[in-house]
Amino acid sequence: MAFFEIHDLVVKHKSFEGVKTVLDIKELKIEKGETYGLVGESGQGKTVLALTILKLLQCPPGIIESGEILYEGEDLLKKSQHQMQRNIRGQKIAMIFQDPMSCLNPVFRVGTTMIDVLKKNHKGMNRKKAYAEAIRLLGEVKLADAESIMEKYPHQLSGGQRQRVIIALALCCGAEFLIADEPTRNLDVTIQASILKLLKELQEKYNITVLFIANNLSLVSAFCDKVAILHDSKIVEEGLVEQVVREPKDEYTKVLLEAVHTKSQENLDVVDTDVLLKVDNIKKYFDINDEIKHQKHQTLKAVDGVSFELKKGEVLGIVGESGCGKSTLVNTILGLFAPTDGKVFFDGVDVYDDLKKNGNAFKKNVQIVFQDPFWSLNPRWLIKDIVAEPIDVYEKLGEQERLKRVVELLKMVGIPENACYKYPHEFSGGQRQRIAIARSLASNPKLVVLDEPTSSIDVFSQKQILELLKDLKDEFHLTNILISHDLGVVHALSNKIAVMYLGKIVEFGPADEIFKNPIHPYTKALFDAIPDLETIGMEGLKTLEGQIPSPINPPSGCTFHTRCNQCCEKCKEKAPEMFWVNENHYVNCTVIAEN
Amino acid sequence: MKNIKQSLKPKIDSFKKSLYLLAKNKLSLLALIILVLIVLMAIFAPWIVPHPEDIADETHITEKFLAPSAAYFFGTDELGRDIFTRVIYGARVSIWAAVLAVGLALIIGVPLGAIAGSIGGKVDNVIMRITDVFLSFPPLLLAIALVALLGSSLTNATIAIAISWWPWYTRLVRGQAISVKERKFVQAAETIGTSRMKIIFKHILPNTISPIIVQASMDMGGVILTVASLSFWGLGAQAPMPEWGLMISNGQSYFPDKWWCCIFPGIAIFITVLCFNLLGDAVREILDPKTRKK
Repeated sequence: MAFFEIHDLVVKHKSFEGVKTVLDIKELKIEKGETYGLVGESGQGKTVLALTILKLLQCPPGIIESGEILYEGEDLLKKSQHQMQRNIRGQKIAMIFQDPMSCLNPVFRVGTTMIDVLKKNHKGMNRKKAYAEAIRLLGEVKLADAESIMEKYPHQLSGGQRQRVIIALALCCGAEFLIADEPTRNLDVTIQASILKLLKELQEKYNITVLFIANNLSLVSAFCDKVAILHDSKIVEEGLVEQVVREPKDEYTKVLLEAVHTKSQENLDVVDTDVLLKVDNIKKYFDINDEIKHQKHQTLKAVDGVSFELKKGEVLGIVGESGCGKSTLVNTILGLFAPTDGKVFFDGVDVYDDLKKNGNAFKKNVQIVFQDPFWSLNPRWLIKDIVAEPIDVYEKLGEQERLKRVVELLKMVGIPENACYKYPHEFSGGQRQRIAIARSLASNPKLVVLDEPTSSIDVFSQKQILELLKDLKDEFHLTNILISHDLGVVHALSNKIAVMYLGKIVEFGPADEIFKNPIHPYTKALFDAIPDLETIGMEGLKTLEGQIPSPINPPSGCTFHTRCNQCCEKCKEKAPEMFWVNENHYVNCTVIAEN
Repeated sequence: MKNIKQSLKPKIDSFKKSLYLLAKNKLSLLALIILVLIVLMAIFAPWIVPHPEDIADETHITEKFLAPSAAYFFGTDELGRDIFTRVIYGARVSIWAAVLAVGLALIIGVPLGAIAGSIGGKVDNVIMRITDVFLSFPPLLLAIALVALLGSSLTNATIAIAISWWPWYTRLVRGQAISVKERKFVQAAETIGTSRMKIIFKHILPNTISPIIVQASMDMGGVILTVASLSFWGLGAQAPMPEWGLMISNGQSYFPDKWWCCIFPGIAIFITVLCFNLLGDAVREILDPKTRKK
């Protein structure tokens, strides 16, 4: 008898469309102390499984039709809610949820929450003891300055800190079995790596068994011993991580693997062409007027002096942690934000001047494809009207001609013409992204900005979308700016890379060079924090410690010095100057420049 | 033709879904059925009532104050008019007034709210301060004051109600517009270069429609009640119009002796308002999944 077993579990969901099977698991066994990874895309029933184990699934609409879930030989499905609450949840099985913000009660201080849970679960523990225990646990999850964390409200903590508090809460009742439901989903790669390391350490220290749910095989390959692939509510493949990653048997596993492999990039060399976009020392500051906190007239330097040139046909990838100013930079270039300082030239024309003189006419040349196709298409418009929106603005076409253009555009992105009279909700994520791409091409733009174009669609579609983007780029002679945290995507598409940190470009150069040989310490750290399938296990995963400093009060000198492992005294005082590694490649780092 | 067929499919689907959700809640289904009957009654009143001549000033002194019987289901009033006839005709008056008042309030309130929420800044400030002024009067009192100004009649009462009602819609729509404005498709439209007004009325407004429908269907009941109240005080419908509030007002001097003069119009008001409120709940359940009962 294994530590945890599932036999023939069938869970269904009832809606107006009828009853649908959401989970059909023949067998799943987890041994004591094991780390078991469960991989599948969204909508495959991963979270349903976690909720079913804890008996937290809403029934109805959920229906647990048959099966048993054995925890140390006891069937959890036969237990009453009361028994689960008293003896299982928290004490035996704990869960870490996806979104750390929504599972901490925002009106309680962290300390209040922790002491509450501790007192409830340990009989006879008084407030003082509980406080001491809470401090110990916060130390255990490597939160520096536990006392002050206890006094804070959840919104005052960063995402990584919150997730650590959640882990501390999961630990506090001595659970032996931990269900981690995509614990790093909304976190940056650097923080993701440190959370994973922490979980691994705690697991070994307390001999916890972990069921790790993820949507991405490379995370699991770094973290887990065994892995099961969930597809269409069934487990399609199971085995040791090594075995599944190296010799996948199932078709679906192969697709998943392909999606995370860094795509070998083709030759994307650009023949010397004219400069299309010239960004000259652009700055965007936001005034923060928070009278409640008595912080009057502070400025948030979202983009702080960025310059680069982009030639026709080039693809610039912008990478960096969230909050580094990627999106603000792009919005400023697009003319959605008025810049605080600096100029942008497009095809030799001063963009901001042109916007003032000719209104929106400039926007015809520059279009954007957003990250989330579920929100970027108006749910109450027909597809034909969505795609034709730019046409309506810039050309006046008759109804027939307009429809013809729409059909052409849709054909180009691989959407059948009968889509015209449908609404966005009738399409899958990948198809919607195609529609969004069709719309972005409707005004014949010269520059298309891709803002995380593949990160919210399933792996099957991801690859196809990348192919499509490549093809369209050649066909329309497009120039692209690509924002992505997925270095695989950046590698596949771009031929130049800008690494941003706190509103500044720290490294800029040809993609090939930077991928082979990153120079700036931050670029290195960023690349190292991403788990890849080449190395299985946690050793290859390096972490970048510390939080991103606030852009309201950035550190003196080099803004990265608080987290840099090569930092010297000079870095703290003096802002680094551009150092040209070769004629196309520069870094902003004092240490590198000196050596 | 092929295209058009496909365009209908989602509509049929969403209609089916609505029916499914409605059928789950028996009470709201009942409310809907009763309301449909009331509306049908209102539309076909001239053909189904037994004494169509009684809606005017007709007097049958010999038959006054007859108790309910097979000949006169609800009895007759002080002028010998058939109360059943007048109650059914009353549905026509009340529902028409309610539709008119709510419609007028929507026409004023919704665009203002959308503009305030989408543009923000000074425009928002000006519009919202004006609505605040309107909201600082009790709606009924404001309506009474307006009727006093305009003169007593059903039309004026309806206008007065609309004027005291629109700020609620402005507030509601503004709140919605502010949240819709943050969605990506609005930003997408901005990058495309779509004009401001088109963004407000084609992108933002259609996405605020569900809560408006919910609020409007709930308000129908409230407006019927207000119309009846104003008529009861002599500020709304004038005799001999068969209006429920007016009928109660006329009947109250003979109450409780001739109870049927007040009770039947009262029951009509009660049932109609209750059904509109239940329907409002049901509509919210269909349009807003978050409030759905588990």
